[in-house]
Amino acid sequence: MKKRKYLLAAYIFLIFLLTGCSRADSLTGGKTATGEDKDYDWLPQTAGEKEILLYDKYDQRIITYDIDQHKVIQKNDTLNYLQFEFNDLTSDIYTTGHSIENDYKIIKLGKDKIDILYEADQMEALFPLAYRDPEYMIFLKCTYQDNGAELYGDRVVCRFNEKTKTLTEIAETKGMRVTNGAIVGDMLYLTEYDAGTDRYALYMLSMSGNEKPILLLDNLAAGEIYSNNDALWISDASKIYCYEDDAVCFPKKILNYFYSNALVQIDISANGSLELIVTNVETKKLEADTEGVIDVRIFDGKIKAYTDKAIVDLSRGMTSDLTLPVEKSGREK
Amino acid sequence: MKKKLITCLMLAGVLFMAPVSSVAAAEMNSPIMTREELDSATPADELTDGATGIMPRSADSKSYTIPGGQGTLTSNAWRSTTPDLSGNTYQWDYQVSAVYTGSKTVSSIRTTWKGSASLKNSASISLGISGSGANAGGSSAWQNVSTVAKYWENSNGAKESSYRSNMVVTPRADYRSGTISITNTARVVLKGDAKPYEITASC
Repeated sequence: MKKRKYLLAAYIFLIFLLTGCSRADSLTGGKTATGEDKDYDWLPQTAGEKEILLYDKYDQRIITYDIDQHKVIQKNDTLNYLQFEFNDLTSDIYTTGHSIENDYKIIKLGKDKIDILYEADQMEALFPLAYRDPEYMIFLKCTYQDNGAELYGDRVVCRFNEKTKTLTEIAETKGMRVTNGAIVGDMLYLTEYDAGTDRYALYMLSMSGNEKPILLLDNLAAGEIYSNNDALWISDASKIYCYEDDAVCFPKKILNYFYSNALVQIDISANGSLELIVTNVETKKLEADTEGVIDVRIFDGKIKAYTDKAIVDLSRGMTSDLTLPVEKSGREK
Repeated sequence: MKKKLITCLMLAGVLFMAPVSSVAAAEMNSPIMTREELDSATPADELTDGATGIMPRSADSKSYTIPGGQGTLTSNAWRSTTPDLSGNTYQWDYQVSAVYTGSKTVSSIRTTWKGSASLKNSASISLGISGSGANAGGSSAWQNVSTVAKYWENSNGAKESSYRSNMVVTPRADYRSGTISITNTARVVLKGDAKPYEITASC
């Protein structure tokens, strides 16, 4: 009897051992198509009070940052493994994924922890399009074949609710080659790329759903659109225009974010550094210009820039009072 | 007898599972690109410096074929093999570039680069651009020191982004011979597509 029990235990142990070993990773040497370790799917972790989680906006990677030394401590440099943000300085939601292996997820960035809110299917990718509040934000969902080519007919805009963690397709957008999105009031605006003409078209649809997108403009030279203070902004290769009155415009840089009455931009200076430029949208005055910028976030209604030398409160230079619009309150950290 | 038979069968079953599960796993996981495709590199240009003739260069070029027949992204890096001596510095001419070849329109193409060397004491290394320097920590032991990263990007439909300058190390006595290197990561985003693609070259 005793002998049999030992054998049974040995048998069960061997089963567990072997099912563990059958994971593909250890057998293929654990490498991706561009030669990185398959263990690439990790994000930085803070160690101690002096470190916080930030998002390196130009490099598109989450980092840990030492608030005393003003240094990047940890970053996952794996090629093609990137994180993507909303065009909204108040949002703490991102997607993360590998351009070849996929493994896309929707994540929430806290000061010192990251929560996974949703995991996409293996052949899908998710990219943030526009954010309104925790119960309504939209993502672009793309589907790929085994060889990595995208199935454009399956591209679709989805809405996501952080509370219920449900991702729902907006069926009316299926098959559209959407590139950018913005939410203004109750309306969702999308731009779609036309590969034949190398131009973009602007569409509008109601967020309550079940309506076909309405074409507003076509022949746009660029797809980037922005939402600020209940107004839509469109752009071309070099300028950002107020949709209602295109005489109101600003120079377009590599990265552009509106917040209240500030236009926050990141560009590359003549000496190859990342430069932060803040312009007052009302007065058109240049309010701040600093180099070595890593991330920009809103805290207590103030714009804070995290650079490789300092943490700068950009609101000090602003002549107008920077207060959060009423409907967005409660999203601050 | 029966007990022995059952025991033998169980052990045999366990041993049989091992190869079956590993083959099944291998079948399910086929890489998108073969090692040979990745290793085939485009040779870098042999550039000539009109005044001084051909300078020996160390170069690296790595290409990645973007899925769906969307073209190729190449990262190039070259630097002079032996440094110029100037005052108390060593200087290496270098160039980094990101190149897209293919029929798609480029939304943005960028090159991100940094240099590194083994240094000691308070020696410094820079990329020849303001604000790119880094210093060794003061110890008399050799340490690997990297410069900050520098960036160059084109988003006007251009299919290439490149930068040329000099890496400078000073003082000469605190540089460990043969340890200089330049690393360049190219990244491209094609119009109408959300995924960026990256590849790195270094020499």
